[in-house]
Amino acid sequence: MLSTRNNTARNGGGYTMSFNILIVDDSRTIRSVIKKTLYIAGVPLNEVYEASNGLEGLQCMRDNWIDLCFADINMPVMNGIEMIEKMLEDQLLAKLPVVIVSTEGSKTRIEELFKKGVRAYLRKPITPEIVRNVVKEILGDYDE
Amino acid sequence: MMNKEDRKILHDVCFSVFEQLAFMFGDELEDDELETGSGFFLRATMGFRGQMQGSVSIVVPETISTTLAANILGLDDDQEVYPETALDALRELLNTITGRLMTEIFGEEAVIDLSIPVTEQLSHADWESLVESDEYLAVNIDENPVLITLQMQQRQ
Repeated sequence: MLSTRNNTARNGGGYTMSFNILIVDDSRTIRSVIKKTLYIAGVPLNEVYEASNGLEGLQCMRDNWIDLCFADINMPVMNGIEMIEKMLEDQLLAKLPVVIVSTEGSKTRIEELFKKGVRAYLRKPITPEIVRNVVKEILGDYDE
Repeated sequence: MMNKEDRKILHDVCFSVFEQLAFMFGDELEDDELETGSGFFLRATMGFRGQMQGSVSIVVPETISTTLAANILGLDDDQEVYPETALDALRELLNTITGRLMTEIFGEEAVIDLSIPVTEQLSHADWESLVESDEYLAVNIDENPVLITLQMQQRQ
């Protein structure tokens, strides 16, 4: 697992809220793209953690305070759906908001994900505008 | 061999994903543009399984995979692209193409399981053999020849 430390976002003389984000995807390229998209979208970031599969993602959630998780579905070791099912079994993780970022286009499967508590679904490729809207909808408005 | 309708879908999805994901643009390919110099090629393949089963593969000259990774990641010209990064970018490109392809072919209600993409290195002789096989659709991406194929059969 990797993490990237960022300066806490400043607003005038004071500090604004900044978020800890976890990105779970087996592609290092996509993790980098999501991270860069978050920066471009102006999301105030404290820590950005990375995990390459669901198992690593769960461990990271247990070891760190996470505000929002972006996760892929199709991953080796433990896929995104299995990770979400494990989160639901854990009182501390059950309410952690998850946004799926995937190439998946099946309405049936996307509906199943929403039934499991997934907060949003983004189809690759993603844009900063879409990411900004999703983060604001889930974590609340923030100063850019 | 792919039918005409599948070739058209594959062509359109391929162009669209290259453009949206990597800011690389597709064009029709002339026969003489399939001839490339020496060097090696990379093939990424992934399987799918739903009402039908099969695989999707893309073959690119090694040089284009570096450009692909740099464009997806938004790297500057002086930033190095490591070989593993180039392979990862190619796998992600194929992943995105296949996801789109499944929706275009089977519709939004179908549930399709996808495998993890794998990559391998091909020689120039392998490339020439694929070009002659007629199983691959050949397109021009930013002045580079790219081969892509969809193989599909009834689920067993």
